[in-house]
Amino acid sequence: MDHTSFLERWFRRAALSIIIVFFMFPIFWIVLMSFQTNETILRSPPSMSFTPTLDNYMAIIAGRLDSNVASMGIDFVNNLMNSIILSVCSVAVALILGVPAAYAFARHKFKGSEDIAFTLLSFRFAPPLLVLLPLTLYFQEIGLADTYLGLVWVYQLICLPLILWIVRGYFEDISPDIEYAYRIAGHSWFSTFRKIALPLAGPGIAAAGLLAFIFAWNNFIFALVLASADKQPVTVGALAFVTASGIQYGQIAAAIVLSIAPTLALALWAQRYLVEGLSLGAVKG
Amino acid sequence: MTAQLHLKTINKKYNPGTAHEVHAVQDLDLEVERGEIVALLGSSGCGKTSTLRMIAGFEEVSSGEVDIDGRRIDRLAPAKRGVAMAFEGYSLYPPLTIRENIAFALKSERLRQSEVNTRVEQIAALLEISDILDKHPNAISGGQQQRVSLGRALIRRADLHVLDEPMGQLEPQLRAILRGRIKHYIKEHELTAILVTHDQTEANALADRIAVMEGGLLQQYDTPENLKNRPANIFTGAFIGEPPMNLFAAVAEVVADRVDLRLAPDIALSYPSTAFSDELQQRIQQDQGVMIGIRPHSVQLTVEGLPAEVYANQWLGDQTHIAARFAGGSIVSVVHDLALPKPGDQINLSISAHDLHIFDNNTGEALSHGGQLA
Amino acid sequence: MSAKDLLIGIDAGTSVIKAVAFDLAGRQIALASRRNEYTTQPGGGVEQDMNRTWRDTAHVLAQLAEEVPDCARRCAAIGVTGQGDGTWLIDGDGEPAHDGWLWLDSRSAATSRRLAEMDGSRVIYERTATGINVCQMRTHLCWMLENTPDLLKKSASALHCKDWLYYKLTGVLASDISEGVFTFGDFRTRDYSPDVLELLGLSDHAGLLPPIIDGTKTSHGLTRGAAELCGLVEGTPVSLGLVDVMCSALGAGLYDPAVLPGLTILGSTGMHMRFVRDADAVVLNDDACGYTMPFPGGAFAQMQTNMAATLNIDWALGLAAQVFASQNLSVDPEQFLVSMDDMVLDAKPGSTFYHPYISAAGERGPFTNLDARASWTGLDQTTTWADMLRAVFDGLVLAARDCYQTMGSIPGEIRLTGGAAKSRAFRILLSACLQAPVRTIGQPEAGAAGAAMIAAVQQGLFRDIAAAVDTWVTPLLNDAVLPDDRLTGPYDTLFKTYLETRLILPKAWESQAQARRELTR
Repeated sequence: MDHTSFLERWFRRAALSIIIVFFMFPIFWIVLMSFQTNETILRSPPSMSFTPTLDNYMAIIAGRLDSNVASMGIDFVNNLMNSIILSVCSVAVALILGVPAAYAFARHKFKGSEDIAFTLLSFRFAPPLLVLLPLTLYFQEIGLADTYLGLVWVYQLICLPLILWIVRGYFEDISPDIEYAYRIAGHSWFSTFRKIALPLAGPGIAAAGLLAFIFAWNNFIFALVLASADKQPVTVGALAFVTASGIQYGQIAAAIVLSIAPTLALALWAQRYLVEGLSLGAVKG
Repeated sequence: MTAQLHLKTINKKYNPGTAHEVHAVQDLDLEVERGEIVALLGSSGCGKTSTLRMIAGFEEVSSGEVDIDGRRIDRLAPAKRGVAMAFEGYSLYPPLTIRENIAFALKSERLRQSEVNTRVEQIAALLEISDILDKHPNAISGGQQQRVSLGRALIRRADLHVLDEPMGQLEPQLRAILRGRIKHYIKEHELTAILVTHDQTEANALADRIAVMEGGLLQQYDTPENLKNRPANIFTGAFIGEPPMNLFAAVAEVVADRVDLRLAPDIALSYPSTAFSDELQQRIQQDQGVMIGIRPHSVQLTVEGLPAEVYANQWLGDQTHIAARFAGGSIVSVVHDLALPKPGDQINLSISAHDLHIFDNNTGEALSHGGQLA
Repeated sequence: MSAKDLLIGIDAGTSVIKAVAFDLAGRQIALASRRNEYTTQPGGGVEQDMNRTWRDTAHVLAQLAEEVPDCARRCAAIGVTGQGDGTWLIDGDGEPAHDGWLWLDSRSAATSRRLAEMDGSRVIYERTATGINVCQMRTHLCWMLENTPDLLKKSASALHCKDWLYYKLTGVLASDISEGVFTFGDFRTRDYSPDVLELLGLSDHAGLLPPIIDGTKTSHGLTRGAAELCGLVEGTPVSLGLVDVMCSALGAGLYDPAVLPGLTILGSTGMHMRFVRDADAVVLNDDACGYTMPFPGGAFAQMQTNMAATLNIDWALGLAAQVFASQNLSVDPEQFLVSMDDMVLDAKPGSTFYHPYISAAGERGPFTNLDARASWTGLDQTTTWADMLRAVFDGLVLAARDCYQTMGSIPGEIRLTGGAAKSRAFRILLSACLQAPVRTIGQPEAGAAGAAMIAAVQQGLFRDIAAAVDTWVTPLLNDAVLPDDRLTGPYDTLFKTYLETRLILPKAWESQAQARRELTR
């Protein structure tokens, strides 16, 4: 039964509209910008009427940055590939390490288990710069600086705690008796984990993986310090648009649109699981 | 006959060595014969569920040993113990249909598919869940889920079947129907079963022997009949039976050829000394005082007898529970007559020596039942 | 042209011979019946004219065919069952060699005792899972071997009642899996056992026994002669049913592999059956009594019989009526019975105990004692007439528990038919005493229905017996009477005393029987 009054409904719609405009407008504006030249962007007052152009996208894909002063090379597509490689690998490693660990923390209380779990979470508390300086030195020492491996390793500081703590909650929500029922029917610990716990925590694992992916994708500081030009992701690569001869707003906009496109597509596709996973919990015992 | 299940002095401590230590099960010794149905009966927190989980392998045994047919199992993984279990929380596997939930219990038996189907359909018919076999667990009621969980345990041919509160969620009508069926099924298939319940009726109806537990300690392990007629201590005496046993402190006085059990300065139950064995007379005379217990069904309303004043009565359709003030306390009598005393009426009570349970006041142990030493 | 939408079940019982037409869903369409006749002879003989039995059967079939429009052409198949045990001998020409012996025949009482006490009797019991008694063909044949060897010499086949009718209907000599196996067979192999025949001393006469067939698999066509006599079509398939109690058990709901129920039939005599899922679950007892009969498939029924059931109530009420009559008062017997239900339920259980062995033939289940007699024990001056009647009712339900307990554990559900099923008091008391729900069934012709179900399975109308039961029987089961929790406890106590008393009574019976013999001498 809907008991809400007309006024209440009206207010609710208005509030929702404001929120949507507030969050969506910048994205909307960026998309608009990406189809304009620097001149039309910088006109005052700003106007919605312009002749759309694909020049910005062409330039980025071609890797040539043309300004009114000079033209320089920029390897944006390579940056995009780096972002994908780094994020996918980091999340994959974090899932492989984190899901079994989360299961262990959820199901098997052992001496110090809480302490270890908390220590892992505390990686997220420290400012990245705190660990970056020593890490840079160590990495240069052992040859991990400016390698994908080194970056993926460092990215675990972002992904692993996230996955560990979210997925642990899901495992804890599954009634242990469901697993006991399976084990007592003659199945091993591992097959119980694989056949019962994993599928039941599936939505949660997917949600955690997606969040970790977005965090990894958006990371800036680790890559800025530890990666050279040919390993840097889009977040760092975007800096190249700030040139001595001015800021190429149109191209920056196009680059941003291209760089948020993968995460946006992923988020849209996974929306169903995300909502299910983050709001419902796994199973009601 | 070898003991099918043998619990040898098992203990369970939670959080051992800490301030939160709980000694849930203490020095429990229990033997369950092959083909026997045993109920662990007690209120919540008495240790019965911990015991069950130690047998199934979901809790570690703090000390002691669990044997099945002489094979030690308390160190084995649950899958290797040969135990089937019905969980109180049902624990059905949500993505599977009811049919698949029941059938997966049979996977380890490696049967032909047709055989699996027949077995599933039979157990479903037994438990009246044939109509929901193709539904999913979230689409059925709690009572149905419980029956599925029960079916998943009973369908197996395990060495031991453990059932945790197997019928708690069923409506009374269905419970009455299924109790008999399940008992017969267990006997017909010569299964050995141990079940946990807090319901006396259920324990009496299903079990060959009942282990009464309280505070982690086994109070008495006996047949339903002996639990009622020969309670081992005050706890079982008061715990078993409905309405509960009447208990009074008494001092025994042996005078010439009579034994008086004095309940109050002016009130005593008086019996010819022949009603008590000599050993018992000696024993109760030594004690400063004893506790006597009388089942409400044994408290008779007679013309002559000890005076009591009725303060409540309750007609239950075929019997009446009469509560009366007696010997400074309260006594309950169950009668079948229709001519009823009303609150305020004076009545006379008599209690046959044959119906008397006498307990040691200090230890709570039973001294005698019906005039003979326990 | 009309479809084959009828099945006919023949039930040639001891008191009535019936033919019943059912539709394919098991609903009764028509019934024709005729009283059965048999003669009782001095010395315990009870015989029945075999040819007349066949004529009576043909007559009821013809009557049925007349009653049901287009019956002959609509009839898909016929199932035949009849009274169990007894011995019906025929010669090489297929003509009766004598008048058939009924199960009631007690001429072989001494032979029965001798067989039961001889060395191999335990082996015979363990093979057939059926105790030796005076009703059975094996006892009769042993008696004939000793006393009338010429009769055996001129006989070519030894049949049971239904086998004789099957022979007359189809011209095929056969016996079914129930009577063939429980009399001479091995319940594990479901075939004749050479060992059993050897121990009985009947090896030389094994040729008398017709081949065993399973009526759910094999049928034979109605002969032209039989078809003409019965008003049916030649070639109509006929299935040999199980013995009548097994067909009744089928029709009344014993066959239920899921619930594993018990079936109690309480007419003048009592019968308590337990559904047994396979040979491994058959429970043998130390007293070597009771029957174990195979169902088609792998299951069995185990049964214990009481020589007297409602006979006890009839007797007690008859006694009261005699008292009235002696005072020139009269009572309406119908009204008398109905008025008892409440009186019995209100009476106090256990104020006296009654052991219901009122039959002059003693008792057969769950122990065999020809001298057993009924008794009220534990009377005192406060015992009322209602208490005594209550004791009789209680005696019957306690006897049921006695039987079930001997056969293993008490089934989880009891299905009840027979005259006593009509009494509410009886249903309540039986349920409380057995601590099991009691369900009655709305099938007045269970025996004929069971025979027709076997024919239906043979015709492929159902996959197996269980499927036939689902359609024909399960919908007819009435709601359960549940055990009254307040009564179940008292019945545990009553049963203990009932059993203890029953175990010390044989001494008294023996001495009483001795006294009776001396006094009549």
